[in-house]
Amino acid sequence: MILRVDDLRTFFPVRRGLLKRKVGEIKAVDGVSFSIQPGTTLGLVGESGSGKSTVARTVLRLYQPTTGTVEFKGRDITRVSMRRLRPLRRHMPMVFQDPGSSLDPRKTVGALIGEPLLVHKLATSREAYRKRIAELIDLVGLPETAADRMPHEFSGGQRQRVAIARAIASEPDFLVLDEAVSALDVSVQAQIVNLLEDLQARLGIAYLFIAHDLSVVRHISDQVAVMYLGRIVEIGNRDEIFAHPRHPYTRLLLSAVAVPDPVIEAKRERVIIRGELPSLLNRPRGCHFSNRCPLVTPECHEIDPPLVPLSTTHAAACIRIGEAT
Amino acid sequence: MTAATKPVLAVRDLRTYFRTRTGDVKAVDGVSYHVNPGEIVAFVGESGCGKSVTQYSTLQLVPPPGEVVGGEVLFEGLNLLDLKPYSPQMRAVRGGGIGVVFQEPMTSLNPVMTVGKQIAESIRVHLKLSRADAMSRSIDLLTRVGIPDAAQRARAYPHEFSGGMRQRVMIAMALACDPRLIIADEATTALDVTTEAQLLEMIRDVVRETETALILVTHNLGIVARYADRVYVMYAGDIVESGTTSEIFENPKHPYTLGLLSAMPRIDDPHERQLEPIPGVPPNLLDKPDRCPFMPRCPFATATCETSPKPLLEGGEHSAACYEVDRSQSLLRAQRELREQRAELAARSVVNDLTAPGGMP
Repeated sequence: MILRVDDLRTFFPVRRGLLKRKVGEIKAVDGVSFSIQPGTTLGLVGESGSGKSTVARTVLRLYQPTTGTVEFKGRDITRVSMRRLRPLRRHMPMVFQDPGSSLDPRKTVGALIGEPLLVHKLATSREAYRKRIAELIDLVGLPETAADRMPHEFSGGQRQRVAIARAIASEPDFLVLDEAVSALDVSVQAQIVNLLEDLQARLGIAYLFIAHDLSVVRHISDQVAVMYLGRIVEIGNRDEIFAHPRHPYTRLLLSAVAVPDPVIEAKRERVIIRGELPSLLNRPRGCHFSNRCPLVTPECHEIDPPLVPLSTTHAAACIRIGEAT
Repeated sequence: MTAATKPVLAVRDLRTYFRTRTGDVKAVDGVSYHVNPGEIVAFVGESGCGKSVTQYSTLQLVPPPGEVVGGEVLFEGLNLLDLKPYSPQMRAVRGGGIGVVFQEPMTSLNPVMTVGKQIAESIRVHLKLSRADAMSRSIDLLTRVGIPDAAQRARAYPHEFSGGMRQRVMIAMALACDPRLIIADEATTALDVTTEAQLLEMIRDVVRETETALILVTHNLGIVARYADRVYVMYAGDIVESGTTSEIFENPKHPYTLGLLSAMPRIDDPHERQLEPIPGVPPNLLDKPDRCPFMPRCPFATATCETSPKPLLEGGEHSAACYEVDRSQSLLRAQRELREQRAELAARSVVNDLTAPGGMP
């Protein structure tokens, strides 16, 4: 197990007034558990505000969890001091959506890729440093001459390659990809998705892959977790989620994705989710999805459903799971 | 659509260049298209292909240093390019005959005016109604686009709405003056997929009901397949393929269209499928050479493609701007096999599973 997250909660205080008194809490992540095996990918999907990015940032301790534990390679890192955390960070880098703003525009691509090597003291000599940068540039499919050029000289897809090279420079076993391919055009996005798959096959890196595009997530993930208002409402193997979704929210989410094929689209009867995503400050009582759910019963407004296992790998949080076939 | 119907919008050889110090960027490089009454037409392509600039050009809203340098834009028989961009006639077209919905509702809405008033303002300007009549019409419109408690919400300010609701307000505004054409430029791109689906279904129902034509600018081929009647595929400032939605998806002729379809991950893919990216990147539109713009990335390119001038659409209902359409058809056959696999897979996949009897109500 590379990563095990248990009952993780990340709350942000809401402060109001002159004295900035705490008047409430935003429960951005509210009891999330999952684990990732070495060399595999967990896809985290959900709408904006569902808490998927907060999960990633809490796992990396960019946010301090309120309660719960994060175990990285068997070691509880939830309360490790920042000084002790730093050497561990080497093994758990992150790639963001927009390489334009996550890469220092004044550094050359070589310096950007080499930075983790210096921070973590991974290069023994100037020669080794250069050699490693050249290796990484080659590994992510950038032109050889890239090292001496500036990030702005590259297209969005190429810059994302730089960000990936930088992330894998420290030979991590685990990589967080937060909407890393979302801003890219289809033809380029496919290049990056293939690169990520290829790197995983070659280097055995595990991914926490966050995206709102379900088609991409289906493509790259081994396991998928669906989040809604800070909770995981369904988690399972890729096929369990995409071919046999059980939670009503998952089913509606999948139904909303258009397939680029008019023949299939014409045959599909679409069930459109009603209403709007409630605010995290004002989540419905009982099941948080109850106000939008087509299968809602009076009980749903009372009972906060736990994740119910459906197989050893598949679980969903809905009290009506047992009834549906 | 029969050939006899007179198009509501007919564009011929439209060219828009951005005059920069280093030269002209040919953002729109001679595109011709038409939209029939009540038709949903999609413009699809990747960022920078000119699909949005084309729309800005017809509306005379291209920001400097951009300039429409040639062509003809016939809207209900009137050449819009003969009008001054800020003339009364042109203003009457924008927001009157043609409604527009942009991607960013927050930047298009006035933050210090209630949404009801903003919609009413445009109604008063274009339809010359009284204040009270305009307000009641704007409340009707808000109801129509699915805003609950419209009478009350009309008194709210844009920041009090969610992203999806704001975009509904924009759609209400676009519909305000009974337009004959609505242009939706990536109108739902920034929204979550469930909200996007809600909005697109609503827009489709409204335009079908009022027989308004709709131009849907998007990079999402799924949306094109779901909603469009006809498609224009753009690449590097050119329309490279046009046809009915079913023709474009079932018999794509242009290698770029084929490439896009193979690069796109699908929610109903067979598992073993590898995405096939299009190698390289789109060309620099500065000093664009006069040859097929896709040639450097094209797997079917020949010596002819390199030396001949830019291929033009062959004309007709389904048409591609390519010298080597025959060669691309062999790839298409391979893709057919994939498609058959998919159909088999669909039998037990999510697509049917979701709509199976006893599934969702």
